[in-house]
Amino acid sequence: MRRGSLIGPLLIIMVGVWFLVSSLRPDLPMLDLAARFWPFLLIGWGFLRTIEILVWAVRGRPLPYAGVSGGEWTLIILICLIGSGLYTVNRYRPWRNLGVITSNRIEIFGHEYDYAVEEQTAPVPKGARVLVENLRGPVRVTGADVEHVRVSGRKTIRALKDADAEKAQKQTPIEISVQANRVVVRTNQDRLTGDERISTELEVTVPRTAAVEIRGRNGDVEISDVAGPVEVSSDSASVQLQNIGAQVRLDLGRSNLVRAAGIKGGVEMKASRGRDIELDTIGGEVTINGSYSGDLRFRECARAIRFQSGQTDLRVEGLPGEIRLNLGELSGANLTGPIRFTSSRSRDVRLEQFTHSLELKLDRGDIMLRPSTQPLPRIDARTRVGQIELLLPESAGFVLRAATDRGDLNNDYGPVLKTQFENERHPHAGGAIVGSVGQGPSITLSTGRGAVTVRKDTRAEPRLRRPSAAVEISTGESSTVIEKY
Amino acid sequence: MSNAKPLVRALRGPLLLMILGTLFAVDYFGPYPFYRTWPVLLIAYGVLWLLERVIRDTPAEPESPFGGPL
Repeated sequence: MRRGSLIGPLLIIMVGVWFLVSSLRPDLPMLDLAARFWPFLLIGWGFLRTIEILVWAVRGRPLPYAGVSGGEWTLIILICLIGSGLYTVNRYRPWRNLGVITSNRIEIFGHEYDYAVEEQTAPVPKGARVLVENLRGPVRVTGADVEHVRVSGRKTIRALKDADAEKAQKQTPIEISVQANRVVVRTNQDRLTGDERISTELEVTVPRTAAVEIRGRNGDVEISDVAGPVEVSSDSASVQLQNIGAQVRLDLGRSNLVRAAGIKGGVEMKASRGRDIELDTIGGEVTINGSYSGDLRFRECARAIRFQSGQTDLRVEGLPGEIRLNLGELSGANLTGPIRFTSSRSRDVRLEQFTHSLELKLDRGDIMLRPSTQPLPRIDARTRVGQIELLLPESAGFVLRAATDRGDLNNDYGPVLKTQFENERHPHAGGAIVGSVGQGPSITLSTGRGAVTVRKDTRAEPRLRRPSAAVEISTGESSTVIEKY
Repeated sequence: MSNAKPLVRALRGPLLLMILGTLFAVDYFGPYPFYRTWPVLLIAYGVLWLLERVIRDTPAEPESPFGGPL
């Protein structure tokens, strides 16, 4: 510290006061305050030193060569490092994602107590609406030919002492209440007064005709064999649905997997941090919003699919075949158009057998198109950087213009199509393949940089590839499917 | 005027320190993260350095930012 400066003593006093207050009042979030307000220490320090220097200058005292010495800068850098570290840890709590909450002593020193939930039943009318409210814990709902709601399951309580666990168990009874045709199954976890942690695993059987709604904060959901509409809202849940007779609505925060198969109605879904989606045999419209980082597979969707995330927009009017979409690729076969796909992130596109029309706009990525159906769809495909390959059936009619600003032009279709170079001396400098065969739709391809290839599709009509056998390996966190064709 | 140059030089550290603290505070409570605003530090350092040079080259300049001798 500078000789004659007040900052050294003031710093020591502040540190002392901080430690004193944090030991006398442990309820005050002193660490949190330090993590958020430490930059003001630097501002105050700089301000005081400025005043000091001005005062010294006015009084005619000799001024230091540097207002802040090397040693002080070292201390300041140390404060910055520790301060930003504290702030980051405090704000993002990285351990939350690791599944270990170290800040809670119950998580470290507590024990787990298991309680079986006694089976309860309540008669309900036909066409009832069943609402399951379970903050934490998985819920499984099954429809059956019954006229009552049956609830059973297991409660897991994490507490420091047996007595605490017993108290928590008594505070959180599972209740079924029936009002007219509305049935509410409640786990009452919000009634807990202590800091015990509770998770309730519920097994609910409902009449097959019921409508089901599940609300929770954290816990996976499984629903099967229900004819009524299904609604799930949760901050964090994987959802598996099978054999649902009506509309499905999912409103999720984090979600590792959403798998729905055999849905007669539509699927409307939103997830702020989703990963994988698998939809198979969906009768109604599919609308998906949010942000997804995993593999999205759609198969046999009778009506339109609309997918929209921050950087991707996909619309398909019908899907007798299959689409796969992930962060790096869109591939699909046997699609009903009009199809529209826009992606502002790097993605390769590979589409086979599509009808009506295709509108494709990529920022970056290769495009492979094989419209083997007759009549040919209208195609407008553009990428800023990437190759384009187009396979055209031999007998089809079309009007083609396939252009590149920089890249090779490969016409393997035949002399019917003409290659026009931008500059005859530099065949790589871009140009276009143009021409028309008979009567047909317009096909426009364009890339800013990359080769353009137009070929004749001489292979037999591709058939939709469906696996003859599939094995799924699941490790809880993730699952992999191995398919044999 | 003779001590204006050492004064500017001595004030350089404290001013930069205040700016550093302000940038972190803006990161935490304001709209701009530190990784966007850090060049301000370089600019401020350059400006203060320039000021120091300007004062040395024209020592008798009465229009200096400090308005004459202290």
